[in-house]
Parts: sequence; C-alpha cells; structure tokens
Amino acid sequence: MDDADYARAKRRRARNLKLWLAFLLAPPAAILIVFVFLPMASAVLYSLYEWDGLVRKEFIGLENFADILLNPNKNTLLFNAFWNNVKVFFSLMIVQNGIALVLALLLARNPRGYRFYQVVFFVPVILSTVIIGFQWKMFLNPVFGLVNKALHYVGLSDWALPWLGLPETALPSMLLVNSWHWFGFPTLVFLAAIHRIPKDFIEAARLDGASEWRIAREIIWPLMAPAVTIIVVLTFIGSFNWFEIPYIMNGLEGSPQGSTDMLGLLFYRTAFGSVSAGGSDFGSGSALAVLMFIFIFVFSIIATKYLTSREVEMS
Amino acid sequence: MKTNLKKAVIAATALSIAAPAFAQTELSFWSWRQEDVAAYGEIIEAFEAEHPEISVTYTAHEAKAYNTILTTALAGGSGPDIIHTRAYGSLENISSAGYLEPLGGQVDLSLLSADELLGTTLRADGKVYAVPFASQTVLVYYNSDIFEAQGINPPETWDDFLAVSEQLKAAGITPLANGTADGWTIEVMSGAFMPNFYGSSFFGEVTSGATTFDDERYVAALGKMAELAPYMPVGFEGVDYATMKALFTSGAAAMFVGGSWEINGFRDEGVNFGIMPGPAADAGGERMVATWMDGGYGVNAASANKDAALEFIRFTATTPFAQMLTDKLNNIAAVDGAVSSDATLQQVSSFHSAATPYIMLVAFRFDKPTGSTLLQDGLQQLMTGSKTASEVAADVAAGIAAAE
Repeated sequence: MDDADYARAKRRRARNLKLWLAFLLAPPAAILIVFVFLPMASAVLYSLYEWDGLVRKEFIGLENFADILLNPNKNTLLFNAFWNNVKVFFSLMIVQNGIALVLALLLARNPRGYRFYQVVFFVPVILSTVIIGFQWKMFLNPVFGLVNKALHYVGLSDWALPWLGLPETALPSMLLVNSWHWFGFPTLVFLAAIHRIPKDFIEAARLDGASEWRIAREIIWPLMAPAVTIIVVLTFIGSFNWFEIPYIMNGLEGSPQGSTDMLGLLFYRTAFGSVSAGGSDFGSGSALAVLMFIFIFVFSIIATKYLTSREVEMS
Repeated sequence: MKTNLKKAVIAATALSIAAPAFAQTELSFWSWRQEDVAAYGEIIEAFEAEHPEISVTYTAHEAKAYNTILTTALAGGSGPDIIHTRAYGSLENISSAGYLEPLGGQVDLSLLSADELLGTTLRADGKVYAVPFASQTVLVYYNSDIFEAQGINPPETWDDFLAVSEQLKAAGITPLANGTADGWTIEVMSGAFMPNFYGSSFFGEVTSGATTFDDERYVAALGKMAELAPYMPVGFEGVDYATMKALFTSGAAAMFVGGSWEINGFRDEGVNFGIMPGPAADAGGERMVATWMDGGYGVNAASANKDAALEFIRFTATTPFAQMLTDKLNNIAAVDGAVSSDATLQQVSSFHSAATPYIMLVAFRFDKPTGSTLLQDGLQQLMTGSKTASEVAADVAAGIAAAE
C-alpha cells in the first residue's frame, strides 16, 4: 500500500466516522430542537407580545416583564414564590444533602450490611414522585394519618398538627417528604466520590495519627469536591423548578395562603389559569418562564464555575 | 322465530352498509364530565334518532385539565364542533377570544331566565355564547340516621344550628365534616351560611359598586363563619375535600356543606341523608341558597359543521333535553319545563324560590386576583384565628379594588 492509498483510506474512514456521528447525533438533536429549543424560543417570542387571554395581540417588547416585576398585583405573588424557592434550596442543602453526606461517610467505612443499606437508601429515589406525594399526604392527614396516630400513641398528642394545613408547617412538611424521596441520590454520588479517593491517602493519614474527623474534613471533603459541585447545582435547579410535590400535596394555589407557592406553580396558574385563580394569561406566563430560565441558567453557570475553581486535583 | 332473526340480521347488515351512504355529518362534542359519559350517550342517541343525518361523538376530558386542553386546542385552530363550556369568568376567557359562535337569533332561548343566561353572556358585547345547562346549589347535607339517633330536628335558625352542633359534639360526633385545606371547599361553605346574614340586597349593591366587601353586613357574616370553627373536625386546617367526604359518608361527621353535585355520590355511598338551606339569621328570617350556572353548550366558531352543531344546540334549549338531564343526571336543568320525579331534586328546586348568586364565582372571577382567591385565603385565616372578620373583609375589599 503506497502513501496515496493510505491517505485515501484514512480520509474514507474519517468520512465514515463523520457519517456515523451525524447518524447517531441527528435523532437526539432533532428531539432537542423540537421539544426543547423551539418551545423555549416560542416562550421568548410569546413573552414579547400582548395577550388577551388566548389571543395574541401586538408586539409590546419587554412590557410583560416590567408588568410581572413591578405591578403589585403580580409581583407580590412572584416575590413570595421566589422566596419560597430560596427556602427550599437552602433547606434541601442542609437537610437532604447533609443527611446524605453523613450517610455516605458512614457507608464509606464498609459497615456490616453495607450493601443492604445502600439499596434501602436508594429505594425511595426510584419510586414515582406522584406516589410519594400522595402517600405522604395520606400519612400527614390530620384525621386518619399515620403521623398523628403515631404521635397520639406515644403520648405526644399536643404535637399532632394539621401539618399540610398550617402556613407554618406546610412547607417544612413537604421539604421533609422531598428529602425522604431524594436523599439516596446524593448519598450514592458522595459515596462514589469517596470510593474514588485512593486508599493510601487515608491510610497514611491514619498512620500519622489523624483523627477520623480530621480525615473527613481535610482529606475526604476536599477530594470529593467535584461530587459536591454536581449535587449543589442539581439541587439548585431542582429547587427552583420544584413543582410535583407541592402540586400533588397542596394543589395549584400554593395553599394555605401562598405558603407553599413556588415559581413553577405560579407559572402554571398564570399561563393556563385555574378554576379559582382565573383565566389564562400567556403573556405574563411566558415572561415568568423566561425569567425562571434565565435565573436558573445564569446561576447554575456561576455556581459551577465558582465551585469547580475550588476543587483540588488528585495528583 | 328463526326467519325473523334472519330478517333482522339481514336488515341490520343492510343498514350498516347503507348508513354511510346517508353522508352523515359527524360532530365532536367535548366536555369535562367523565361521570356522565353513559348518560350523554343516551341523550345523543335521542338526538340522532330525530336527526339521522348527524352523528355526535362525546369525549370527556379530565376535569382539572379540561380548560387547558380546550383552550390549547382552540388557540391552535382546532377543537371540537360542540363545546361544553364553563360559565362566567371561565366562559369569558374563550368567548372574548372569538372562539364561540354567538347564539342570538340562531337558537330559541325563551325557556331560559335572564339570571340563567347571565352565566353564558359575554359582558363586553352582551351576546349569549352558550345554552346554560344546569345550576349548582350550595346545600347543608345532614346524616338522617345520626339526627334521628340523637333526637335532633334539622335546625332552622343560627342559634338552633349552634345548639345542635354543640349537642353532636358532646355526643362525640363531629358536627361539620368541612375542612379548609382545599380553599374552594371553604368558599362553598361560606355560600351556605353568609348570605342569610349579609342579606339579599348585598349582591346587587356590591356588584354595582354601591358598597364594597368591607361593608358591615359582610363583616358580620364573616364573623358568623368564624363561630363554626369549633364544630369542624380536629385539625380542619389539614382536612381536604376527600377527607371531608370520607368523614361524612362514614358517619364520623353529621353534616356536610357542599354543592348539589354531591347528591349522586352520597347516594352511591349509601348514606341516608337529608338536605336543607343554611340556617336563618333569626326565627322567621330568610333561608337563601347560593346558586350558579355550571356551564353551557356552545358552538366552535371555527367549526366546519356549524349548521349541524347549531342543530344540536337548539336541541339543548328544549324541554325534552332538560327532562333527560334531570332524569339521567339528577341535574337541576336550566331550561324550563323539566319535572323531576326525585324527591331530593324537587327539594333543591323548591329552595330556589329564595336563591342568591354564589357571589365570587358569579361576579368576581373576571379579574385577577379573583374574589375566590381572596375569599379562600381570607377564610382560611379567619377559621384558624390568625385574622379577624374585619381584617379579612378589608383584605378582600382591597384585593377586589386593585384587581385588573
């Protein structure tokens, strides 16, 4: 085989590879374009028009955005929902991911029944959110719910509250349910990250007489930083898109008195209307969706950049 | 016998081959009433028997998603020929967008009262866009077996009502099944008790702007609602619609305030129940029931089969249709002339002699925030004691004034 033949064969292989790549990438790209990029583009477009219910009127630029941010009828709802999402993010970071970190550290020490715990912790993650929301709504029912029955049984009747009906307890209850549903996922991610840390690092530290706390804080924690970055960003996106649990447990209105209202619920009510809250308003709804997207997108990038810059390399 | 059967089979086969040759107009008919599929099937059969040239297909969508499904289809230029519409604010959403055919001059609406037509009239142009189909009425249901066992007669005045509730509570029975977790159920509950305190003239005055919701009559009526909190279930703040029904149908609670649409469900559960309007403020006082139109039948303005669809709509404005709604669905039909053989329905109809519009749904669901949102939030706060009646009334009045 001379050089020309070789070059031709190489070109043909390169061309074949390109064809293969195009063939493999085209379907997901098409799906992304049709179901993600086009709806996003149309939401941006819709948000720039005046709407009379369902009918598109004239182009009004950024007036819909100004309206939802400045009109007191709309911005009180928006800020209330946004603040609730902020609470959701920080609570989940502390409760859900905190528990996950502790469990991962414990599991990393290979306790007896390690496999069993690993599976048990992960089981709620694979259950459907609809089922979990509904199930916990039953458990928290003030009349026949398991939670209050159990409290009566152990003599804590004063603690038996209508959990989902009080503005003070509704959101915390839902956050606990969500944590119960998801804690297995960060546990698994953290555990995998800990397992990636070379054993000799930890053994060397132990030989040098470092305490378990110090090993966790100064060796394990910095070296599992990439996993923490992923979990923080995913929790952030999940918190600001939170919809299913509040919708299933307390409905579209963020009842009671907006204490469980989220940006996602507010968007749905605004864009599509609800029986109690009134008709649909595509203009404000689209503007709200665009604002949510920009906020989540920008903050996710900033958070990823910042957290990645703090990661240490294992050499 | 055998030859008859043979003939019948041949005739049926011939008919099924020949039927398409009649060039039938096929109409689609959308609704949110999944419970009523069988009954509408029979009603449509009766229509098709008179109009063999038209065939109607009834499709019921999931109730909560119906508005979204319908409006999305209409906005996309499709949707059914015949639309089961909601009323008032929800109707305005689609009629003001021009998706419905105005019915004036095309359908005889003489069997409907002005109040009934209000539910399907667009405020902006005063045109009727749907034939109203049935009304809903807020009722107080009571468990007859419990009342009998406790030696209680249905209370007539407010004081009686509280005394009866006290007696039931002392006997270990929850007097009222109602909770506040689902905001709309507490709004329904207010529809049974508040009108008899704010009176029959309040609706006209508040809708015309002669007064507002911080009117002292409304404040007083709210104050009466708050007095009911001790007779609601323990933890009523977390009691949702499903739990309320479970409490009443299981006999754990003696009374249930709800819409007339509950009648069928309670019967199916085998509850021995009676109905009454909310109690009068004083002996001999008015006992009004809050009512509203549940929806209507309209024609898609973009339908290719408008004439055939209008033919069906004309049918819905007749007494025979109303009679079928009454018999098959236990509805209180809007169109006049139907007579119910059902004692409970007759009773509901008789309550209508002292009817008052269900205030927020009928008049304050056009702008945002809606009166319903404001009142539901306010009632939840009132019942838990975090706000007083006058604070709630002030909130509602301020919200309505700022609504747009």
